[in-house]
Amino acid sequence: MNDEVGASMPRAKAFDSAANKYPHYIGFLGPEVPSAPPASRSQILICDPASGRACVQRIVSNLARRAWRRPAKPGEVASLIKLVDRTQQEGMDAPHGIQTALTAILVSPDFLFRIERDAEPRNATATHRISDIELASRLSYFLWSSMPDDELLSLAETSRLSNATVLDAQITRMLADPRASAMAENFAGQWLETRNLDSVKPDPERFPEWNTELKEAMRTETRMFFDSILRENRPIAEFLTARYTFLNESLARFYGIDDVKGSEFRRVELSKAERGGLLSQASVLTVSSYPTRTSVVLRGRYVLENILGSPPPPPPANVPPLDEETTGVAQSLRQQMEQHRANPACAACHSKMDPLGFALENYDAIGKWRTMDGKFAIDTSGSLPDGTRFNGPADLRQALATRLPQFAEALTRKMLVYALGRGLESYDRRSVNSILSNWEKKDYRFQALVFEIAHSLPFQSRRGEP
Amino acid sequence: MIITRKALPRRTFLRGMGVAVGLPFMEAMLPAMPQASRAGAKPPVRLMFLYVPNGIDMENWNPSYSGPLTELPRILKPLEPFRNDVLMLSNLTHNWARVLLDGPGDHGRCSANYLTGAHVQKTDRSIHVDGTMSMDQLIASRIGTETRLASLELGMEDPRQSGNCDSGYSCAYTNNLAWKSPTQPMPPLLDPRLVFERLFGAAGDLTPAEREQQRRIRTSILDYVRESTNALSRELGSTDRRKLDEYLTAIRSIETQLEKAAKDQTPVPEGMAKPAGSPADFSDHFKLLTDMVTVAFQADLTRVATFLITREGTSRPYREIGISDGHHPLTHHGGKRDQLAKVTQINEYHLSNFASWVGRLSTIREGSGRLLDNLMLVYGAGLSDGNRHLHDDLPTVIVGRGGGSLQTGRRVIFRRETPFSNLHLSLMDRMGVQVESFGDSSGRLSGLDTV
Repeated sequence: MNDEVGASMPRAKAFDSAANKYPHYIGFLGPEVPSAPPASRSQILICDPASGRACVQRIVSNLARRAWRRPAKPGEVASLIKLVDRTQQEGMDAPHGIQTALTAILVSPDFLFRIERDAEPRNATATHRISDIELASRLSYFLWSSMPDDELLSLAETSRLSNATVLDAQITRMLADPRASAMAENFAGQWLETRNLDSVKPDPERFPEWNTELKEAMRTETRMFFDSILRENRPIAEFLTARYTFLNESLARFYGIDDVKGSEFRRVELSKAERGGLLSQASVLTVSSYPTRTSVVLRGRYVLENILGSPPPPPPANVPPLDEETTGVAQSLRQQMEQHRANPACAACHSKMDPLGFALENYDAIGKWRTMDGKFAIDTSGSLPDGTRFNGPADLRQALATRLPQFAEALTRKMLVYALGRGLESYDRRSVNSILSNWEKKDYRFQALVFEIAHSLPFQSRRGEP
Repeated sequence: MIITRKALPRRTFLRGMGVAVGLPFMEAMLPAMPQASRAGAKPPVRLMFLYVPNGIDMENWNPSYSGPLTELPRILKPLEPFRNDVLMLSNLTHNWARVLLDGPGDHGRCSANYLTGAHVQKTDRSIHVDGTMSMDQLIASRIGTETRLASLELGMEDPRQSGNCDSGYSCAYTNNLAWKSPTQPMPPLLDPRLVFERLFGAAGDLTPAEREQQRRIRTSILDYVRESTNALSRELGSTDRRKLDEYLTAIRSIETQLEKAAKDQTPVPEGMAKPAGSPADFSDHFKLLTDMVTVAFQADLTRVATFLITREGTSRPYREIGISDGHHPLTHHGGKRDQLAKVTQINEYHLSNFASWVGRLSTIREGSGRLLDNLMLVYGAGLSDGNRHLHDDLPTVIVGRGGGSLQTGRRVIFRRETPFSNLHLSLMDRMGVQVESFGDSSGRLSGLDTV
């Protein structure tokens, strides 16, 4: 049962039984008592806690090590065992005691925060290398968005992880692991703003094809596209110009591509010029639109910010509002934007943003191909700030591909922020430059960026704070 | 077993499934509610702010007259049946929300500045609102120990956004109204079920003995966490130490709550079911959350609440009333009538939801009077004209009589540029919290209690 049918349907039709389906009745079975305790229980209770102190100690140190991403100190284990005792004094059994200790482990700052220590916490000039244990966490949260696994933590505990060869082998292993899909989920979701797919809410009257299934298909396309460039270590130029993407039948049909059947996603070679690269993907085109219409300004900003890494400054105060509403009715969008740009206060930024947005006007506010906007034909001609001229999305792709070093820098900065969990400062400039010059020698293959970042100075060091 | 067409008591159903739609629960069980006022005692005054974003269509908000309220303008119309309980204030300004030397970002500034009256630092990294804390939190810090919860923060839009939400202002500024410290916002609760648990505890089903046992164990866990956090704090730099301090503060407030819960055994009101989650429909969600506030005020579980109905800059469409365009883009209407008309409709819709809550409140007795006599529900926005981002004449109405300290049923027009912070001072007085000044206040508002 698709419970968005009602929401995406004209109100008058929602209860029309010919157009919509609703259940006659719903029955529930159960509750069923599980026959065996869940697997997670046996992972926690690695021995029988009722068997005595030695086992309780083993369980508690094991849990604390996993949760805190470091070995627990004897004093810490002792305090946790006290909580087990305290619970048993309340008349509860040993597993309940473990439950109390586990609760304490999970509300402890060692679990909730990623703690890195400085020999001199108040000294901001003493830069030093992070410990192997800290490096293990930085790496696993960077690549997996999760805690280090046993192999990584063991290498760190024996101080072998910071060895460059060992580190490279671990990165290779981690990138091949299923958990590395967290990069597509979290890094790409933020960089490409596809996380906003849930909040954009296109107008169902204007875009009757929009529904949860299509939205999820859009998200999946971009996620799989990113994931394949990462895992296959493709050159990042493919983000802009790839002649393939990942589609299932419903998304392919939405794109006007016929020969894809079934709900499974698969790699599809693109023959028509209409699609190719990120900037033709419906997810990206939808999150850079308003609920009712496209916006060349939002799309222009999107390209400048996420692809070229040169975000426009915010609009100055009290600018006359942009009259985009009558688009397609009284004037074409282009005519209106050109009037707007006649105002010199606006021209400085809009002359950079708008042409990029115009090149994408062939896609409507949910990324469907079109050649008319209302009663006006779409005019997608424009030029980059340096004068490179283009006409339409395919030209824009090629024009952007000539700016590869600029795209590489934008991507480096975005990923470095993600890896470090902090904004970049002016003193990071040298590290960014050195990453870029090494990366260029590796043809901007995507995984090479991950290796460069993991070996970089900011990733491997820290300092105190006054 | 297959259940077919068999009537189930609703509560059993909700408990059993853990899902299903959140149903409003109020009317039937009102008489069984514990009362804030014990016999003979004067009921306490309670304060709540309800905030709407992106300004208001002021042409349809301000009446043409001052003094006694007669016919109300279009947006305020839903409040007309209760106009004798309405005090409308005009010409209050939040100067710190203006551009000044900080450039664009009016939405980011005005919401963080609304209850703090302070300058908001333009940053998307280390957020900082100058001053000490928001006025609701100042009140909570002084009188919050008298109730189970020091304060209650509600909202209807997910606050889990990060980064920059308005021209270089952090999303934290637009996602929160309440600030416990210059760097620590109090995120609003969205889910009526979580509000219920905050009010009555997650362990509503346990026996008193079991609950007491659980409380003792939790207390020892918190002891453990406090000790290990203290030890850790000594090893860290300043930002990290600040984070840990905030964490410790949170632990202390949980401890206080646990202690209070041990003394104060206000039960879950008879017939009140735990809501199952957040309804998608605006009105349903609004009703569930405000009904929860009714309960909290009535049972004196808290005396100060803030409700960020939606956040500044939100592009939420209002399909509930047939509007598909986003709220924020609509407010930049550039004077176009059809677009402005939709803004007016959204403003009206918000008000009608608020007014139907007021309607429900108006029938509730407290002591020898009405609950409404002891409330101060401040409904308003941090922008007046959302199109031009104006910060003067902020639309503000107070519903309720503040324990007799507000002379309602009229509109008071202050001198232009009267600081909004003066209202904060005057409201704090009524909550029994006296301070010399607050934010950019220049004094107290005169004439709230007398004609």
